[in-house]
Amino acid sequence: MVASDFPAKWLWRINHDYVEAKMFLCTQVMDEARHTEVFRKRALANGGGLGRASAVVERFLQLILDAKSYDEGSALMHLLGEAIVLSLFRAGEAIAPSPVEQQIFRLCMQDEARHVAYGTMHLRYRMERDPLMAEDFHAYLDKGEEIIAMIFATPEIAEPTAILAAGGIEQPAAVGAVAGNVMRNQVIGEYLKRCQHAGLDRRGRLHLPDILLEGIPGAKVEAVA
Amino acid sequence: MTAPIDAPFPSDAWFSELVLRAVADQAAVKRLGIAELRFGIEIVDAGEHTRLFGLVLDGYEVDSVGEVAEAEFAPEVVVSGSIDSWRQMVAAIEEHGGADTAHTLNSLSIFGEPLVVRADDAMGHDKFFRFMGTLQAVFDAAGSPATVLAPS
Repeated sequence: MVASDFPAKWLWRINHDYVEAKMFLCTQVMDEARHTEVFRKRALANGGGLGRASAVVERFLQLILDAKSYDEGSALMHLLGEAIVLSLFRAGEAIAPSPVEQQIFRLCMQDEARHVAYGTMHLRYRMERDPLMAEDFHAYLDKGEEIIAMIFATPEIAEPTAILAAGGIEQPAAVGAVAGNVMRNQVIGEYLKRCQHAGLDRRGRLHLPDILLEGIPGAKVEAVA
Repeated sequence: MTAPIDAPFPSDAWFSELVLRAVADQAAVKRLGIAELRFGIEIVDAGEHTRLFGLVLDGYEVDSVGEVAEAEFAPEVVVSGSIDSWRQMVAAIEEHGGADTAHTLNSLSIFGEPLVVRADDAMGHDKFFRFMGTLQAVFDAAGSPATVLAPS
């Protein structure tokens, strides 16, 4: 729900001169409400029920909600958080056990990709008009990446990612670990490209451990992790 | 289930027929929502010779522009793979009336094999995900045009 709470928190504070941005954020609130409804129903329908978020995930979500500026929250949520969710939805679509679940993940993937694209363009807009903001954005993302590094290791992210990526729990754990690493590399690689597209080169500033940067072209050599 | 497209794959005629089938149900097309994308389908044969076919999504319209030169068509995103991979995907769609889980555009490209997604910039790359529903519906039309995203 944070992905709808965050835009809702800032919507009324954004001047009406930016009406397109406000309208887009309204659609994001609605998108995320749909995601919450469909995934909550799906989780309850399979008998497993709802799980609990770990402290580190809650900490990342708190960073987004407590962001001092819209720019900070948007960078953390649209560029970092939703990029990970987009990858999880891709994995969900790829191994969905039924056409209904496949459709759920495919449509949610579309929504999430739209939000990530908006975040990339928002950052680009800000960077084009005020390049001096680069250091501010770097600082926001420094904070976010430190937590993201921990999130990649939390069981509720790492285990489902490995299982989804490997194609089910029947696969050996090693296959799941390798497949999970490939997906994580995709997340980081795509994140770097989005930042670069927006005019913010993070390749020399990544606050991620070296081990997470293995196999990502251009990421490890210049990293300062 | 519908008869396979009566044209060799890949060819201009095959993609033209695919698009005709995909847009036959206008209500279904509108349920997909508007899209804006120049999409390239790159097919690599055994001799490493590549052919590129173009699809253009514009609002509710889907157009096949046939075989194109990449520099002229300027696709925002290209999905590339061997002829065998593409033929297996099409065969699965024809067999199941739509892509099964193992043969969606996403599942075939998620690990970078057998299909690879490439784009000049991040926004083009992300458009592949933003319009995945429409793209998959278009390809699924090779197997079942009457049920393109129709409510089940």
